[in-house]
Amino acid sequence: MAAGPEFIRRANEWTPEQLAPYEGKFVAWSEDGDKILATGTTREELDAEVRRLSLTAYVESYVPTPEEIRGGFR
Amino acid sequence: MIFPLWGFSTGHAIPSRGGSAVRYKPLVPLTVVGPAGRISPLVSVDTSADDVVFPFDKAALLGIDLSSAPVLSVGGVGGQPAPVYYAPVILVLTDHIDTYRWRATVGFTAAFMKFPLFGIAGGLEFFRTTLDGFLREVEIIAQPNLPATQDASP
Repeated sequence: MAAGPEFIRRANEWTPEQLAPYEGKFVAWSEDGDKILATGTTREELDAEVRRLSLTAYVESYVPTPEEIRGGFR
Repeated sequence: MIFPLWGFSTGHAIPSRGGSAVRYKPLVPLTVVGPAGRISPLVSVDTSADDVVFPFDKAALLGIDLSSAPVLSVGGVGGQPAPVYYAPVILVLTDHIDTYRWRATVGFTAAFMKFPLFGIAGGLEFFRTTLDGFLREVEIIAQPNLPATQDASP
């Protein structure tokens, strides 16, 4: 089952401290938003890690840094 | 279907947010189905984006060959004009109550994007999209022009 609104609600519960190790990285979230399954400093690195771990169900995202958030980003 | 806005917290006050340290953005998980794979990126619901656009390298993961795909030079993606290659896919949006599944021709570009774009052509043109800043949610409702499909692959 693909991720839906509940994924965002759960991911929104992560604190800045919990997300700090992932700032500036691309990540693969579990579809329930509870865990980060893989990371990469680039999309290509994340894709390689996803393949290495044989992940099939995940949501890919970027975790902006506090500076990017303050200044706004697209 | 209604998605909460994604909250990005900085730990420092943001002047335009009245001193709040959190920015809210309409990002939703969108599943992309290709001939030989699927991906589920968090995409930016962007009513000013002309197209639905994903990173170039995702095409290979979906089993899409872009070597003979139509290409346009598109401005605004990553700040500079960049080639965008177009290919058919199936897009899926769900809230686990309803599921919207439709055919779309989407773009792929090597221009850097932090979040893929859920823009108008092939995407938001089929929906009524409402951003509610008070409730901090985005509502996306399918319209009669949605080219719905139950096909397994494009």
